[in-house]
Amino acid sequence: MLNRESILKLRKLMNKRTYTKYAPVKEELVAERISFFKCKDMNKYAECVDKAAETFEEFKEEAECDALEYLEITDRMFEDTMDECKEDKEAFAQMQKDEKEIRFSLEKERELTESKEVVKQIYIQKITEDFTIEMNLA
Amino acid sequence: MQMQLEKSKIVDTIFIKYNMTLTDLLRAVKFYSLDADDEVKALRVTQGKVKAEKLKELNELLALTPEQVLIID
Repeated sequence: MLNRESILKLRKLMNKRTYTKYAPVKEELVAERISFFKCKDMNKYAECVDKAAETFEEFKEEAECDALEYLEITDRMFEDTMDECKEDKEAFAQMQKDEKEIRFSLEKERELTESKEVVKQIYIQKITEDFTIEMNLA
Repeated sequence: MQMQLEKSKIVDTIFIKYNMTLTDLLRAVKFYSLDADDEVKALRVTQGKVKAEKLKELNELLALTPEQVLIID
């Protein structure tokens, strides 16, 4: 098994490579997806969501394979360590933080014009709707 | 997949309404330290309790009755 520090570093490296490759493709995929959402073509919209997920997964697998091969880490060792890490609240929170930072560093920055109250309202709306979906689909 | 689709709809609705991507929103949340906001924290605590309750219900639903255990074992 890898130790926590090593697995977090490794995952960060893999994610950075995945996001770096995915970011330019994502812009196109999102634009296409939103156009279908606006015209309420939900079949095409779902296809776009699938395509994005498949593309991301493909890049992620590529980054994982390359890193594991280079570092001579077996899939089993990586998966077992990842499973253990997901159970560790602190490690899991660090993984989420790292992913957010990578996302921030790679995606175009937009000037923030909204007030704290407006952002809070949007954030609460998102948290509430995410939760409703999770409960309905659970 | 259904979850991903439904969550995409939420993100896209926000984008259309506020011209804000998920990354823009997360940046703004960080800028205003909204994860430390009392209302946001209270909402998460409430949701956590509901989730735990639902999980408990699900586990109870999936658990075998003593009679079923006797039949199997």
